Amino acid sequence: MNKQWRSIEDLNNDKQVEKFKYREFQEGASELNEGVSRRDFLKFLGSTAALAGLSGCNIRKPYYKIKAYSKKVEHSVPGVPTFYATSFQVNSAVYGVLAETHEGRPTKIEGNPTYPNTNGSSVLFQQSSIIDLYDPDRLKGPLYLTKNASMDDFKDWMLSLKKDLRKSAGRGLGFLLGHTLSPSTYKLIDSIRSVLPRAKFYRYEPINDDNRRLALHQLTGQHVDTKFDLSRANVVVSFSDDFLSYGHHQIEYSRDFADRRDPDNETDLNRMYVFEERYTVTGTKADHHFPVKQSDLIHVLSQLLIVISRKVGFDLSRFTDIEYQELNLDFVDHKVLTAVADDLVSNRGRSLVTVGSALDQSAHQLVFLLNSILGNNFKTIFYQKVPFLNYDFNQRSSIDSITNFIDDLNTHNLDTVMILGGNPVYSVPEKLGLKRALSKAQNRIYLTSYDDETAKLCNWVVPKLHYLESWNDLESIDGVVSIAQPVIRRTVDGLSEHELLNLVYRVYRSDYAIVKSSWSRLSSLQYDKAIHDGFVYKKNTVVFPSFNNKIKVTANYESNHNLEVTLYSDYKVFDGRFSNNGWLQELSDPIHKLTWDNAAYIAPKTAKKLSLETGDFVRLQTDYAFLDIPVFISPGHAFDAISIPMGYGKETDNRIEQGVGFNGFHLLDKQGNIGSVTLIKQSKKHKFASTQDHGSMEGRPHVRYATVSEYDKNPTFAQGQEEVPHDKALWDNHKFDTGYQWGMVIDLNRCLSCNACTASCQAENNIPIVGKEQVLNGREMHWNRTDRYYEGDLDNPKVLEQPISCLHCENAPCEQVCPVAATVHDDEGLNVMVYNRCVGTRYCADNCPVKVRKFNFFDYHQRHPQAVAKKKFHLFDYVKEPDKSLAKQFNPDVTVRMRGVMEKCTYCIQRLKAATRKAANEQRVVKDVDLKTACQQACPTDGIAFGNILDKDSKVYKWRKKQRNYSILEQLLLGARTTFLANVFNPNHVLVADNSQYNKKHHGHKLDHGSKENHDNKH
Amino acid sequence: MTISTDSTIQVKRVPLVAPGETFESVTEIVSKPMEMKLPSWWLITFCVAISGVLLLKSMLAYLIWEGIGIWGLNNPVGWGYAIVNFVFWVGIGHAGTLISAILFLFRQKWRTAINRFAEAMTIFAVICAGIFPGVHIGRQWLAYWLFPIPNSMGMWPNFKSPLLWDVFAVSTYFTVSLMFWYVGLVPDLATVRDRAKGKIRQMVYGIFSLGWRGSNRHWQNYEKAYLLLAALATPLVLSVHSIVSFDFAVSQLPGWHTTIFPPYFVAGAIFSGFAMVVTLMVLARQLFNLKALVTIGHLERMNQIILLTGMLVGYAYGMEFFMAWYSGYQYETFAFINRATGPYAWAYWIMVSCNVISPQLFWFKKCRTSIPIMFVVSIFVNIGMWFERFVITVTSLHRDFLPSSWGYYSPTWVDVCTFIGSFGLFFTLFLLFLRFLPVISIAEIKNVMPEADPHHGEDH
Repeated sequence: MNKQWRSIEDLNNDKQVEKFKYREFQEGASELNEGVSRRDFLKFLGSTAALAGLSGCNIRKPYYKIKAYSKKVEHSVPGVPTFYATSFQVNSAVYGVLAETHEGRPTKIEGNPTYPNTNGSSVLFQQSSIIDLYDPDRLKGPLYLTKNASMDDFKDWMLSLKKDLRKSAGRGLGFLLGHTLSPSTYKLIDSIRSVLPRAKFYRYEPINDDNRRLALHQLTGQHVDTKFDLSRANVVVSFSDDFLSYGHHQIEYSRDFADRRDPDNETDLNRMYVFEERYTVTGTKADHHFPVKQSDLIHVLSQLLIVISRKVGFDLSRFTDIEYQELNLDFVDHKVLTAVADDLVSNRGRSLVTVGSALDQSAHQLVFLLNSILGNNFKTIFYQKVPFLNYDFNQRSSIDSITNFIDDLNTHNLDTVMILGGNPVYSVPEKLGLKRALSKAQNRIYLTSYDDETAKLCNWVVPKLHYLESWNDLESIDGVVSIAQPVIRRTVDGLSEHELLNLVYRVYRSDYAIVKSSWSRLSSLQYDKAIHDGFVYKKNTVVFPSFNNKIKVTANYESNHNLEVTLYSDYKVFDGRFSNNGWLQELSDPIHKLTWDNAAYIAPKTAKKLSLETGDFVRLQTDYAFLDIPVFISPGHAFDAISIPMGYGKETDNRIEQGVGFNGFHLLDKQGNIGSVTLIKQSKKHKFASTQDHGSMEGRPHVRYATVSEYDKNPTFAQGQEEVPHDKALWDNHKFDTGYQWGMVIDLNRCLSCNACTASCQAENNIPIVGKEQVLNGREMHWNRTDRYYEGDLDNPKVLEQPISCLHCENAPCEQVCPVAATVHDDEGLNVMVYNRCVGTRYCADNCPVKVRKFNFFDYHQRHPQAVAKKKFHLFDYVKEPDKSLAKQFNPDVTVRMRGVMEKCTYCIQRLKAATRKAANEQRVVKDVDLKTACQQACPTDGIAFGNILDKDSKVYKWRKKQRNYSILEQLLLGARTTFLANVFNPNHVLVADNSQYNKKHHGHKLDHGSKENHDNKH
Repeated sequence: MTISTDSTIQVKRVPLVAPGETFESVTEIVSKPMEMKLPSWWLITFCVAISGVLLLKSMLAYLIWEGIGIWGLNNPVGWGYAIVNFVFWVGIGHAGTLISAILFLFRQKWRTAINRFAEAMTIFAVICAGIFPGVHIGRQWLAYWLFPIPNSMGMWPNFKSPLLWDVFAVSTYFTVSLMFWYVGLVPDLATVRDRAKGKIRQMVYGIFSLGWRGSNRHWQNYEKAYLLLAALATPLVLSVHSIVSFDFAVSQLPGWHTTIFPPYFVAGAIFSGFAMVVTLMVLARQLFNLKALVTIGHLERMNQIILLTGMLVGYAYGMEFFMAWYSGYQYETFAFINRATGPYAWAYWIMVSCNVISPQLFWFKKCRTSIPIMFVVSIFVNIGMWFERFVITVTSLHRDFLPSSWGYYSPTWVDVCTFIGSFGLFFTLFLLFLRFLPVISIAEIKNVMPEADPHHGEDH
């Protein structure tokens, strides 16, 4: 008999192949972790015996070869990162980004400067999206009935399904989509509909703009959404619209808004009034903030409309049925309304009124009317056609569509469902009974990144590709169409949304083939350019809608003190889609400085009334559901109201999100609202890991501010707020007057505390997360943080924010006390940390007046909450070494610090050095354009200036010369290189006298929360 | 006590050794603990103390394996139990040199009964103290970088850093104290050697007594050396704790950055050192029946010093507050108000009541001479002095300049066990000392007995 062979090596009896034949997986391929096998145990026993002195050479660790490039990869210079333009979608937002890759590994995401309206800056979700790619909890391969399966199995299975579907023309087939902005997806949907005409499509997004879109559609007959021109608006009135922290225009709005908050610009400062039920990021930037229950906002709006219409002599009755009513609110009275109305009227055509998408449809219609009366429409507010609104499922509201989906399931109209968006079992109101309904479908296919609540109820779970692993195309509401490219080979055995949809009606095509085919009209040159630039073209989507209908306001105002619960999208985990992102979980909430948690936020007065303290568990009981959740006292919150961030309380086994927070979705009724709630106090207590326990500035001039009129009178108000002693140094201080002298200026007026800087720093500088327990003990590692202080009245305080990282003091207190000279000054004015030299006395941190030095108490790169436990079968496995699961994200230009070492902001010295090296090679000096620190690059408002303070052309030089420039704690003669530009507010002088926010210096309010409880527990 | 006669006023001092004791009985009394059958209380306490050492060792091993994170330290509070314990033990280690050196130079003869004891306590306390700076750093295996060791990189420590001064101050102090103690021990070791019955005993004591034969020449050299060492040790008494206080005073943290610290720390150290001597002496004289040599008079004098230094410390507490107010410096004012009324007010008031209020009992002779009262007060003082260091270290750190970075520190079980373990080490060494070395200087005490006077027994 002839010998059968598999390959040449086999024929030649190669030892290596011999091994492969009997080994299913290659060495190093992931194997099942099921405790210690007998074999492993024996190995361990053997190595222990070896240690006992039998033979020293048996304990050597198995080694792997590191292979160098044998051929140089085109365009790749080792050590020099390559940037690829791509884009991705989060709910209604499309982010154009640049992915930084080092030798094929994406390590950081930046905004794409060529993508329209981003200016190269970015927000939190962009910065943190990189770590999702490397998340060890991501599904690695398909699951069939919760068992591991292969992609081939799935494709085979789909093949048979496809045959059945063809026969029935898609009868019983239903797709549940999320918010979809990909033209290719819609092309695939068209194809599916032509092949399987009876297939049905539904959509669901827990966070959506349905109210606004449907309201405007009803009013004007057009599918439009709003777009502001904040650069033209002198007066902005927001009713609970957090436009500075949400949506596709977040970056553009932030920058335009910040540009109008610069008192040194030629245009006057804008003025913002915010009426809202809780402090939002937008609210913190308001000149006047009015806490109002969400249900009362429509009435405030109505009354404002009436006051304005009377002032301008406009007959409202033709358009709406609202009537004058006396409002009995805590912070809003007739005087406030008149003042706001006067301001709006005198800025007709240059003002802007907006309302948050959580408010019901009539509010949006009233705002449209109000903006029409004020002549703002098409001057400061534009209306853009919402893309893909010709699809029926997009025309219905989310809640309508999902109700329909569940009804169809219950009536056995669907037996194959494909869930492509979100995690509906988690986020759909439980009252709708999705869980039970799903079980009625025979085939349940779910495309997801994680094994989550929905995955547990589906028979096929297919891993979803990360945006950095797949081709995609996107069309934003601005009409920008982009093609997104992958930057790394797939790290999981999964499918993109396109590939899955494609499998339903034809044979497998790769995502590349699908996207490429839908852009076949582009020439290859155009296609390459589109990929290079990050977008294809920009369409004009602005339309000019007008009234078609009368506005009906059904709700009648009545003064009540019933508790009202609202859910809102979290600043970090959004609707829960990012809840397994460790960076986001550990970031502090911009308002409450909470990490690893959500809470029921209540006003101090409400807490007093109900005798609650921060950390007290309460049961929120509705007719149909209840939720046990701890309360957190939030100054500036509306009375008799509770707000809860969405996205927490997941019931999964994933490392990060497991056991974090409480699920507010439980309280939703069938319409996605929350009915009347009764609150029952419970005896349990909860510990909140807040990064800032103390909210009051204690009368210390750290954040300096003035009103515009004060600033005009005294432009140097920020100076001289501290008594500075004479510098009686024994010797002359070093003069930093030659070469590069780096410095940073942070404009407090521009800071929105959006946290993008912190996330960017984390990605750039290999900063580990530490977990809730460690944050509770104040050991978070972030190199920069944003401090939040409350000032004034406890019920409606002013919120002041201040980002802080190492100040790089010329006369640095940390340097003098380090016994081993591990922190020293360089001649470019940097306070540098020599990690290798640091022994970790922590003396420098004790002596740092701003406490920006972070000590690595454990090896946090090894024992962070995302770390994968190492399989311990070899003796050396018991010796500590860093966890490698997230190591691929590390920036190779930055040292990974070990335990016992102090670390802090370096001004991104790796970027400084790269820029100076490059400039030196080109025989020129570094200018502003060559160099941006990570925080500066991310900042969506351009609030950070960095550069050479001796360079008269640099922005940092100009900013340091501004009269608002001040350094904190200047009395310590620090010579800080990071300085701040003081806040200037623009309050309405009519309201200033009344408004406690501006009745200055209510110092000494002890706005302690979290801390006190912790103390008591700790004693 | 004065007795007036017709023409002269003769001052008669209270005898330093109880009447009726002779040279021989003194030697007997002091040698007895070394030669008697091992008492069972010694064995029991030694076992307890040794378990403390094991506890300390395991805590340190755990610490080095896992990292500083097992302690309760956090971001604003970078120093906690370790530094508190270090300063506490260094403070305890103060009385010894003060008693031996300064009182020696001032010819305070009553010191003879307690100096050996106090010096031993010093050495052991400094050993305990010395553990903490070494292990409290993040990478303990690099602790040697704190010493100026020539190396190929040309890296030197930062001579501007008070922590480095600390390294020098404490190691110098330890070395000089050890030498001083040992030199003083030599004549007594020879006595023990001469009395030794077993071979090993003779050998060991023989080696350590350096061939002392008690010749005139030996005595002359000995006394000169002792005097010189006393002169050398005297400035150290002041310098060690001054330099330890620089760790705080040289920084710019409100509550640390004060010029009063060096004298205040020295006073506090003497205070705590004397209290510790009293605590241990009261027990030892009871257990080893040393009442004839360590009389109530000795204890009373120590109590007087406790009263004095206690009031010095109290003055410093008051002056800190005065300066905080008088300086008009917002941050310092806050730091002190926060001490007395903030989240750590309990620690502050424990400190004040133990350190300032409890020694006031010693205004009364009855209390000064009452063994139970002085025992309790001395323990209070020790507790109070530990809290003083806690208050200084932790309350200053936990709320400094930026309210945003304020925090709270609480120790973990590892912190507490390490501290308990350090007591185990201290008592282990001390019990060994009680058993194997003469606890009272035989040679010196004979010097202050009436029989030592060449004119003893002669009438005027």
